Amino acid sequence: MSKDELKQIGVFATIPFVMAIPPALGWIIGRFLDEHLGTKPFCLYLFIILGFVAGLKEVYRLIKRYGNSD
Amino acid sequence: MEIVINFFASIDAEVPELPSIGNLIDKIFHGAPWASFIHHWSSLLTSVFVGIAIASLFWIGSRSKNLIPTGLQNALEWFLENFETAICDILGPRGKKYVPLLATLFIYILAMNWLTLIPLMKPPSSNVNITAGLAICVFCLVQYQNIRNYGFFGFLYHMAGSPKDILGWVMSPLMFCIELLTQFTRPVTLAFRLFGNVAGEDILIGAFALFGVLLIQDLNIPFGLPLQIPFLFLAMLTGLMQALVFTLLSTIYILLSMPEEDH
Repeated sequence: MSKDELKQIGVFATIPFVMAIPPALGWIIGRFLDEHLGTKPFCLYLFIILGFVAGLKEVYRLIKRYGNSD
Repeated sequence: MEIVINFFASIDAEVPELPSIGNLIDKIFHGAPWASFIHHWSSLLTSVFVGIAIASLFWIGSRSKNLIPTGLQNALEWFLENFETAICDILGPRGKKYVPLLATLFIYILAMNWLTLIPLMKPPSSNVNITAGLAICVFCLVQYQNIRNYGFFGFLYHMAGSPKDILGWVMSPLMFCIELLTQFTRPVTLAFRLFGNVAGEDILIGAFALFGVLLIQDLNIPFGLPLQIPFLFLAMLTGLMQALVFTLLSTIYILLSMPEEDH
């Protein structure tokens, strides 16, 4: 196994966390905003969706950086 | 939120834990204020101990600066040279100034993770406060680099997706929110991944050690079957992997904080 493959395994093993944590963070922020702005439940949904998009964007960056170029 | 806290509190009571110095001191000198202090702050004290041990090792290794290195000096120079090459492969020649920080992070996390191999030692990285501290350090450095490289308003413009046409400006609030979430997610991801993996491995080893004791408890002998040994090898592998991943991701975050033409 080459060094690059080891790096790939390490970085790609992190993808589940990168996908899961942004929506969770979005949920916390959305709930906080809903409670303070009285917009229940719109901010919650909005930030969860934004979290999903942010997670996907981060995964795209990781794959772009560490995926095989050929 | 209360349900989540109660859930974790109920888990905490049932988690099989290997005996560590902090636990034993608290059990033997139960009630003494210094014993409860050591028990309460054991992760922090162990991490300071690890830091001092690594600093001492490198100080001893770099004391004799022979032109043809031998022994410990040779090993440390080999490691640092390889590490510098790996970092400069990703960051380019400008990455050289980040090598001290990233190498420190790698060795420190690796040493903390591998502490599980020493009897009566609990890896400090199985405590989320320690991993969060490390992740916050990386987060602060990356944000400082962002503001230094782009300027404050330039960074805000970059966060909004660098809009150039009317469609870009319309989409910019959305892009800004997504990018803000991404930035704040990074330290959380770094901290929780390291903590989760090391704590999980620690619990697994604890569970199998307990299982080994329970299996032959009827024989009334003062030790158990060493069923946890295969998982110690697994802990070595995952410990190395986690240290590598933490360092690599920190390197990527630093790379992304550099202006576009650099990566």
